[in-house]
This record gives sequence, C-alpha cells and structure tokens, in this order.
Amino acid sequence: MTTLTAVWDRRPRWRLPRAFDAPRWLTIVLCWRVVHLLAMAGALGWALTAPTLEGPARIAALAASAIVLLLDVVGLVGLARGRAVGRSYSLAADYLTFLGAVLFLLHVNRVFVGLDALGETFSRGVPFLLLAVLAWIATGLEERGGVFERIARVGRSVGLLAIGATLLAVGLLPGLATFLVRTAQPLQLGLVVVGLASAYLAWRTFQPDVAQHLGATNQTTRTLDGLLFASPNLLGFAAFFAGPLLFSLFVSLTAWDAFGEPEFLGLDNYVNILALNVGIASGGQSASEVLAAGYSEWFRIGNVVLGARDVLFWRSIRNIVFFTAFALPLSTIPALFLATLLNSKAPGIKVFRAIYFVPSIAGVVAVALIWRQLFDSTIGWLNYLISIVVTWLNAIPGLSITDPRIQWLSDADIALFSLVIVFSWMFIGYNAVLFLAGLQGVDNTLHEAAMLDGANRWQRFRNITLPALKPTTFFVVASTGILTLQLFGENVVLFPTTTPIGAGPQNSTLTPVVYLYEQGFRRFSFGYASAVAWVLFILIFAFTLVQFRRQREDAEG
Amino acid sequence: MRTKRWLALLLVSALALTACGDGGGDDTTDAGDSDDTTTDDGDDDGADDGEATGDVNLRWRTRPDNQQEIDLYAGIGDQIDSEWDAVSLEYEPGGSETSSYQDVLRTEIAGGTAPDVFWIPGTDIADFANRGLILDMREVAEGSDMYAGDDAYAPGPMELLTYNPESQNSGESLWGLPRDVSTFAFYLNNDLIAEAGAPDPRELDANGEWNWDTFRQVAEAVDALGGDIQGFGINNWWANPGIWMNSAGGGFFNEDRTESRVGSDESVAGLEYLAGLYQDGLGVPYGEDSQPPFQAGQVGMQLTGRWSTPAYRDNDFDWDVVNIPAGPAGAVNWTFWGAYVINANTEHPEEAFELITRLTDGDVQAQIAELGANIPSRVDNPDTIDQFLGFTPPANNQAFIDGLETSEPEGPLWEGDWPAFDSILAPAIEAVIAGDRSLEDFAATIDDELNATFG
Repeated sequence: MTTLTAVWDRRPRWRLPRAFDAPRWLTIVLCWRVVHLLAMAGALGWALTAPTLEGPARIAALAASAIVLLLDVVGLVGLARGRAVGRSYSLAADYLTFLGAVLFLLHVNRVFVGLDALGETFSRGVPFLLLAVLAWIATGLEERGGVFERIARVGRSVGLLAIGATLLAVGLLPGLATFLVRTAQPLQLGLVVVGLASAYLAWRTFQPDVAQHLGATNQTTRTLDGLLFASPNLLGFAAFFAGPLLFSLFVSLTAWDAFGEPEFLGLDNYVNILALNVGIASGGQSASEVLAAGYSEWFRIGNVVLGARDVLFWRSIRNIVFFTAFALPLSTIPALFLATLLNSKAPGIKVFRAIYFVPSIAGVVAVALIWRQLFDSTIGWLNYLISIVVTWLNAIPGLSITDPRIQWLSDADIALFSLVIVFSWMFIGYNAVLFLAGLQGVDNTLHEAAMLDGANRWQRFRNITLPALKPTTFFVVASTGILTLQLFGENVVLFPTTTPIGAGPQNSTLTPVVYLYEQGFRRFSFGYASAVAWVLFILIFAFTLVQFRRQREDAEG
Repeated sequence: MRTKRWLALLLVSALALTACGDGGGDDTTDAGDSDDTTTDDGDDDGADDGEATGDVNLRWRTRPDNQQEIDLYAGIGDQIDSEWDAVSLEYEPGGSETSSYQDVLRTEIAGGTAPDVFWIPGTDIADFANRGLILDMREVAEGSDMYAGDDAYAPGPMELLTYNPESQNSGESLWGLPRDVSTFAFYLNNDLIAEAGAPDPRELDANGEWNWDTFRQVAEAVDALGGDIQGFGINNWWANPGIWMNSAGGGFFNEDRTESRVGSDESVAGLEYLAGLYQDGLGVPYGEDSQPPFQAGQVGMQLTGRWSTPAYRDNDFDWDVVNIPAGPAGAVNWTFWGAYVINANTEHPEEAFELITRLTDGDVQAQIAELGANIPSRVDNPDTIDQFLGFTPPANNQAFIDGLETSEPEGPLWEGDWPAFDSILAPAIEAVIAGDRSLEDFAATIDDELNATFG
C-alpha cells in the first residue's frame, strides 16, 4: 500500500536557484545593503518623529531600526572591503528583516488577535486530533512486521488525514481566505515582497560559494550555524526578557504613566526612593522641625530621628528584612530535620514525602485563601483550637490562662508573622525534598566509619551530613531567600481590603513588590515603580552574591 | 525526518492562518485593540462577522460580583443586540474587585486592547478623565435622540460626572452615565438582637431614636451575650470610617474638594466615637472581614452596602436592614456609584454612547435591581424606585432609599490624587483605632499629610 508520506518522500527535490555566481551576487548584496541602510535610516527617522507612536511602541521601533541600521553599516563596510565579517552582518540584517516582515504581516493581518478566537474553536478539532494521536501511536507497530506493519502504514495515512480534518474543523479554509483577502492590500503585499526578498538574499548569501569567495573560515561558518540554530530562543529572550528588562531600566529614569510620552528625570526616582536624613530632636521637637524639607519620619531612637523622602519604601524594606529573617530559617531548618526523617526506608515513606510536597505545588492564591479563613479571629479554626486548648488547660487546678483571641490578620504586630507561617508552611515540604535529594547522595561508608569510631547520631549529623549538604543548603537558602524578598501573592490574598492592597494593618506587611505594584498599577507611576523594582533587584543580587561568596569560601576552605 | 519537519511547519503555519478566520465563522468579534472593533473601514478587513453584516462591533464590560450578575448582564447584552440592528455586541464580564478589575482594565488601555464601553467606579472617573483615557461625551450626547438628559440620573453622581476640570464647573462635560447606585445600611441579625433584649433598631429609626447612643446600646447588649458574639462589624476600607466622620458633621474634603478636612474637629469626633466602640471591644476587630462572622450568625449589626444582599438572602437567621444611626449632624451616608464610560480610542463614539443609554435604561436597571445588588440610578421614573422597594428580602428596602437621600456621593477627586489620599488615610485610621496613634497627633498632622496629595 502506498502511503501519503511515501508519495511525499518520492517527490522531486527542488531547490532555490542561484541566479548569479558569488562575485556578482556580492555586488548585488552590496547595492541591496545601501538601499536597506537608507530604508532603515528612514525608519529610524520615522520612529523618532511619528506622532502616532507613543511610549514603548516608539522605543521598540527605535531600538529595532537602530539595531538593523547598525548591522547594515557594519555589513556594508565589511562587504565593501571584501571581508567575511561583512557577510555575517549582512546575513543578520536580512534574517532580521525577513522575521520582522513576517511578524508585521501577521500583526497587520490580525493573526495574533485571532489566536484568541482559535482558542475558542480549537475544541472542534480535538476529536480529529485524538484520532491523529492514535494513528501516530499505531505507526510504532511497524517494527513488529506482518499485519502490524500494514496497520502502521494505514495509521500513517489516517494520521495525515486526521491532521487535515483537524485543520478544516477549526476553520483553515475561512482563515486562509481571510488571510489572502487581507494580504491583497498594498502594505501587506509590500511586506510579502520584502520578506521574500530578504529570505532569498539571506539564503543565497549563506551559500558556501559566497563564504568561500570572502575567505570565511570554518569557524565563521560554524558560528553562523550555531547562531541560526539558537536564534529562535535568542530572539525570544531578547523580545520577552532582555528587552523589557532594559525598557524598565529606561522607564525607571523617567516619569511615565504607561499612556503618554515618558518624561526623562535622570536619577531623580532613585534619589527620591533612597534619600535619608537624620535629625536630633530636643525639647519635644517634632520630626518636621528637625528633618530637612521633603523628609518624613521613618523611625526614631531616643532623640535621633531618621527621616526618608519615601518612608513607605523604607518601611517595605524593613518589613521584608524582618520577614526574611524569620521566614528563611523557618522554611529551611525544619525542612532539613524533616528530610532526615523522610530519608528512611520505612513502609509508606513515599506517601509521606508526597504529602509534605503538596503545599509547594498548590497555588499561592488557594493556599492564602485557606489560611485567611483559618486566621479569622472570630470564626477561624486557629483561634477555635487555641480556645479549646486554653479551656482544657484551665481545667487543671491552679491554672488560669486568658484566651488570647489572636488577631492574626488585623493586629499590626502580628500580621507579618502570619505571613511567615503561611510562607514557611508552603516551602518546608519543597525544601525538604531538596534536602532529601542531598541526603541520598551522602556516602554511607562515612557514617559506617564514624560509627566504628564511636560517633553518636548527633555527631554524625553535625560532622558528616551537614558538611556533605553544603551545596544543597546553598541552593535552598539562595532560592528561598530570593522568594522571600519577592513576597507578593500571599500579602494580596491575605490582606485584600487594606490600602494599599496587601499592605496589611498600618502597612505592617507592605513589601517592596507590593509597593511597586501599588505605584505602578494603582498610581500610574510606572517610572517610580520601575526604579523600586531595580532597587529590589540590586538587593536580591547582593543577597545572592553573598551566598555565592560563602559557598565559594566553604568550597575552597 | 525531513518530511516530519515540513509537516510540523505546515501544521503550525496552517493553525496560524486559521486564526485569521475567527474560528471559521463563529459569532465572535476580535478581542483586539479598539481599532479592531472597526468593521467597515474598508481598508483591511474582509471576513469579520461584523463586516459581513455591515454591523458595528462593540465590546463592553462591567464588574459583576457573582455568576448571577454575569448571566444577567450577558442576557441584557443579548437582548439589546437582538433589538439593535446596526450593532453587534460582545459582553465581557470583568474580574471581581479582588481580582483587580481596574488593574486589568488599565493594562488593557495601555496596550490598546480595552473595550469600547466599560464600567469604572466613581472614584476612578477623574483619574481616567485627566489622563485622556475616557471620552467626554457631551458633544455626542447633545446629538443623540436616545439621551434622557442629565436630570434623568441620580443628581449626586451626575454633578461629579459632568465636572469640567478646565473651567472647574459641573454641568459642562459628560464623562459617563451611572450604571446604578448603592448606599450603606446596617444589616441586622434580628435573632441576636431579640435574644439580647435590645430594642429593635428599625423601630428606633421609625421613632427618630436611631442615633449613636442607641446604636451603642444595641451593640453593648448583643456583645454581652458573650462567647464569640460581637455587637457590630464594619470593614476597613475608606467608606466605613467615613460615615462616622460625615455624620459628625465632618468629612474627607472641603466643599470644593481641594483640601482635606479629615483633621477637623467634627471628623475627629466621628473617628473618636468609632475608636471608642473598638476600644470597648464591641465589634469584630477592625481589619477583619466582618461578613463571614455575620453570615455565621455571630454579629448583631454589620455595616455594608446593598451589594451584599444577594449573598445574605441565604442567611439562616432572621435578618433585615436599617439606615445608619444619626450622629450630631444626622445620618450622612455615602452614595456609591460607578459609571459606564467610553474608551477615548473607540472608533464608534455615537454607537458607544447609544449603548450606554440602552444599558442605563429604566427597564434594564429594574432587571439589575431585581437581583438585589444595587439601586437604579434613574430618577426620572418613580416606578423604578417602587419596583426596587418590592424586591425583598430585606423587608426594609426603604432604609437604602433613606440612606441615599442624605448622602455624600463618593469621589472622584478632580483636583487631587485619590489613591494617594486613600493610601495615607487608611493606615492612619487603623493606627488610631488600634490605639497606636493618639487622636491629638492624628488631628494635628493628618491634614498636612493628606494635603500633599492635592494640586
């Protein structure tokens, strides 16, 4: 039986024509580079002046056209001098132009927007898709021979037909028709021409004869192959991570509300965030009398008043330092002891390992919602259980304990510790699994030797297990510490009605991420919020750096 | 291997192209930016449903509180859609308040994907208008036959919705039309109050004796039941302490809303009364959500808005409502409101305005009021209010109407920064109620702190 794939495989091979030999082609590329460079210079000018472009759209257009313009310049100079580097840069410029034209075509044809609608109608194709999956599974029977081989061949054909049916069911034909209708517009046709031309230019320039003519080394060819291979990931990284990161750095130097043009402020946002002032109060002077203008009291020790321009930011820093000081040890030290308990071969121990791991895979919102009910001071389970214990204890003659009725969520002195409890509960299990993996890597012969030397259980734990766990401990402490410094979701769910949201009673659970969220999304101060984010980044970076240093010193020492 | 690669590429490309077809003729509109709501520009569209029928596609959004409201609004959208030939509507239920309805909306506006018509709370109107995010629809309204006029809607919200920030006069601009209004009332657990032997607050109100003194008496009596029973409960957002300040003759702002008067003697007196209730342990601790214990039957009186009614209809105890107690200046409530506004970037302002007039039509408001969550904002037809009074329980719906008659409309703050104001005021009030900040210190410094958010 002839399958569709067999027919496909026997089709005549067709390759793109190489219309010119390498020297002539390079002349054409050189001319193209000049045209391309002028076009990019025009695009740069348009991005600078176009009134329809605002904020991030203008910056993205400026960055994209500047990068391609730079590639054009280097490529042009290189090619003019007959250098292989010119080919590399020229290739990069044409490759990016091709990708840009394709993406812009998809954008103007509203394909990305339509993906939402595709999500709604995809279910129509699911039965056919399941059939295709079953057919694909059947193709695995081919190696068994005989009747299975025939089933596999039929499966392959059925699979292809099922894929086709899937596409038809989710609306390929109307989609194709719409795409073609939309593409038959001047702008779209222009993009098609630019895309095809760039693709052909890149492909032809990439051919070995051109490389050979320019004296490109194998190293250059391998580098280009590698970059081409990694380019989807690299471009994705640039577009969705590095780009926004750099953009936020730029925004942090501006006053920007996300809607209009950013106003450049230089380092003003950082100065306002970090500025501190000290004053000495005497004779009942108020903070405003002893601090410089623009500063408010952050806290005072005796007569010494420490003021800040942005007290709330410093409050958030103080909160997060306190939180980390409690949450980090409480979610790591018990985890270590839990891991030693779980590192046994008792029956059913795997079930316990799974149970302890469950909180870490539960969603933050779900966990925090449950804890919010547990913490309710009037009808919550925690206070109810405490009341039962107190009643039970008071039954003992001579004891009279007052039921504390702890206000877990509304007392400014306790709210942060409620967060510590929730966070530690969530991460003890996860950290225990990490420690467990570390424990299972400890050489058991060391324990046996120590036992022969008369070491007791604690001595073996302290002198063998703990040193062997240093790499794991470093990872656990560093990763948990970063999570504590980024605390956000738990606050927002546990304290949804405080102002700012998540800040807790009297701002007692205000953390830097909660604060930057408030600044950005509630107050429209995206420049200031970005600056707070970068300060937090530096804090986290410093924390991680200290951990790395300690780890390195331990390893070397 | 090569074949599989080509097949995979073909499959992905085909799926991408399929995205152009809106699912092959499904009755949906693009969820894209406001440009995408266009259908008949003739420049780039070819196969949208709207284009095929010549209709204008409009997307609109509200912030419903529960699935019942989502279903109701969706039904209203379908009804308008079927009656209005020239327009195709797509209703998008927004997230609830706790899922940051406004944050999502702002992000969508920044990204150019916000709906043509959306609802925002009254406190946000000034912020959205000052940033040019919503349309001043006065001109469109003047050219519309559908508009019933400014006087057809609740006067408090309309005064703020027609404010022109340039001339600083009301009655000139038109930033939106109120979807509905609401106000506070004390929800009563009649069983607890009767068990405590306290006087019925509804009777006290009817006799003109429902004031701060009798409120405290009832709270003390219920609280004396002991155990986990609490006399009263209020939540800790700005409006809750606000009614005590209002009823004491104070308030948040001066008359033209350009300065704080939270530090005035009257406002401080209101706060002092409230703090006293807490310091005597009569209420659910300030900062705790008082709704769960009220629904659990452990709170005598809970202050909340009309929006709590649908949830309370499942209470398994005898409950009703009463207006807030009168302070030295009377019972000065809040008028809570939100408005349908038009995205400044919509390409169909006339149709968007007509949609708003249809969404605020008396019949539509009656359907929403029947659900129990809100009070109609139309005042041009007395039947609308009569219908509202008949939607029981609670039996004493008149308490909400009474509350509206002597109330302050919430926000917006045209000459200041409301989120900043709220961020300073809320923790300060928490500190006073918790006893961590003296009233003297509060009174001496709070206006200076708050006035920094104006100008």
